[in-house]
Amino acid sequence: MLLEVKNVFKQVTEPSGEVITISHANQLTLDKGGQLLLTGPSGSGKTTLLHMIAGLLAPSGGEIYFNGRRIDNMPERERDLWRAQNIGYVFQKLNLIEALTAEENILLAGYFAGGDMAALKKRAQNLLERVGLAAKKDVLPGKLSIGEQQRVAVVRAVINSPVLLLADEPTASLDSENSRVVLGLLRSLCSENGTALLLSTHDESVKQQFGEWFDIKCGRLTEHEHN
Amino acid sequence: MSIIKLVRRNIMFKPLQSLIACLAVMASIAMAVLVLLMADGVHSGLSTAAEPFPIVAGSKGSPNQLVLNTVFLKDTPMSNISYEEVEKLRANKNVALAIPFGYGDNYRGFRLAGTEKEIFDYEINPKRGKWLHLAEGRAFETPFEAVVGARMAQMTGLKVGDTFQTSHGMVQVPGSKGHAQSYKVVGILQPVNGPYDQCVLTDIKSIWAAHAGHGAAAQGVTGVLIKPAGYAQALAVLSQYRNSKEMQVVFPSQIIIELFAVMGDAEKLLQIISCGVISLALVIIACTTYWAAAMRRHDNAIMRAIGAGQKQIIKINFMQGMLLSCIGTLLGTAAGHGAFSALAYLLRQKTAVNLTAGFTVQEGVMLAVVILAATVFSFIPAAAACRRQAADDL
Repeated sequence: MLLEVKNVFKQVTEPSGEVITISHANQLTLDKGGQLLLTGPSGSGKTTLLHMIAGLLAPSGGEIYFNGRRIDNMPERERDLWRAQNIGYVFQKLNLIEALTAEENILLAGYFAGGDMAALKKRAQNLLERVGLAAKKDVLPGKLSIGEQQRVAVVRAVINSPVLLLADEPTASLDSENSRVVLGLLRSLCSENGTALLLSTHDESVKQQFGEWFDIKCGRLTEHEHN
Repeated sequence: MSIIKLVRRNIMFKPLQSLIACLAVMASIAMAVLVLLMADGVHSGLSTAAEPFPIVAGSKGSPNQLVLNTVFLKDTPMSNISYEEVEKLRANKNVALAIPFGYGDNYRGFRLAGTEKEIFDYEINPKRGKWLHLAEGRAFETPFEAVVGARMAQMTGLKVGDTFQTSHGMVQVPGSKGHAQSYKVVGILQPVNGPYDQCVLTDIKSIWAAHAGHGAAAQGVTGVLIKPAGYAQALAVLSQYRNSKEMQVVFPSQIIIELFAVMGDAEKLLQIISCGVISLALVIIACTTYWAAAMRRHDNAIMRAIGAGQKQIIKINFMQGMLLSCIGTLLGTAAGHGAFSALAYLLRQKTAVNLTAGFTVQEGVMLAVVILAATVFSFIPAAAACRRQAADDL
């Protein structure tokens, strides 16, 4: 088993002093190279859960295991390195660094992971060709369409061949055609690299493309079988 | 890809934002540097101008006016003293050298200083050597021969061999009556970095001849430059003339010190302004670095999410803050010196007092404090960026 989430939750204190739970996952598992869909309405805690799994947000309670190793209580420095070497992340918003070109955004992830820049550059070029953006590698994100930016974000997420790719509503801001392309890319790139994929969405059309999914309801994670 | 490249790209990506940050730092530093240089420059400029005049003698009256007349070539000349007094001073064993000065005329607003040719041999002190050096020509030998100050020659275009006529009085008045006698330029002085760059030196007998018939006072001198035989002798000269009813003897440097003492409150005010401006500079740097760091929060969170470690985030933010602060500080220092040079130039045009201020100790201390503060101010938001949960800024 690659990922195991045990009774993880996040609580925040409202200005009124009331403590509320914004995300709660009783039991979530994902095998190596597996692909799992995380669904639920907006505000149900999907993004928060992905942030906690990526080590970007400390859970209020529960345990998260990665390859059998507990990661939620890892020291910050160790967790940074673990994240750089194991996690790829595609955000809900188009989170590219605006000052960097498409290629530089991709290489930055490789740089932080301590990869060989010449090899990374070659891989980035191949991947950009694959997603049809080789000609736009030197273009700043602001000059790319939203679909193109999301394809760059996908390439950035897989540049280090991560063990786990977390994709948070990656098609939320895309039209149906771009949505299909990006989703296809994500799934095929993960399959080719043996990367496990945990993808969150509230888009019903995306659900149809996955065999099974987990649905967060009432702030809790529950498992369903797809018919 | 490297951190330096990323920092450079971040700065260049929002040129207006970076420019505003730099300009804010630059303006405050320039103001602080200018205030410090002015405080230092005015003092040293006046002291430098007074250096060739260890002691000045003149008729009884305002010591300030005597110093303004002889050292700075300003104000209405005081009444004359008899030339016999110069001879008495020369006979005084405490006096190594006594050189008379007579003023009274101008050429195009530049003052005519009648003196004696010994002035060209006058040594301020062994270290400084001679006060006056000829750039061209020779010293005057006879009346109505003139040696022109460097700045005046430059401004009027007078050359060796030219002749000119002077007007009566200290300033040029359109239509004022000129003297009939012509002066012939026989030499041009090298710059002395003081008021005497903007005057004509001539034999004092020229002044007397030009004012013949104006009474006994016309045969006198306005001031006497006295070089004492030594420090103790200088005090002795001062003591000898303390009770004189006709003459006064003053140390110009002491008058300048007294002037600064009188201006003590103004100097204190200037110091308070300096401190205020420096504090303002520090606040602006703090705000600028904080503002720049706040603008980077989202990028920091993205970088954390794609694998940047805490150290890398600190490094990127610190380098960016420091780079903007250092560029602003360097430009501010240059602008402060530039503004000071411009003010010094204007003042030199007007008074020939050369405000000199290089890189002062206070300025060095201030810049060190500013750089240190910039280091701290850049580090604090950089470190704070790492303490934030990346998820909060995504």
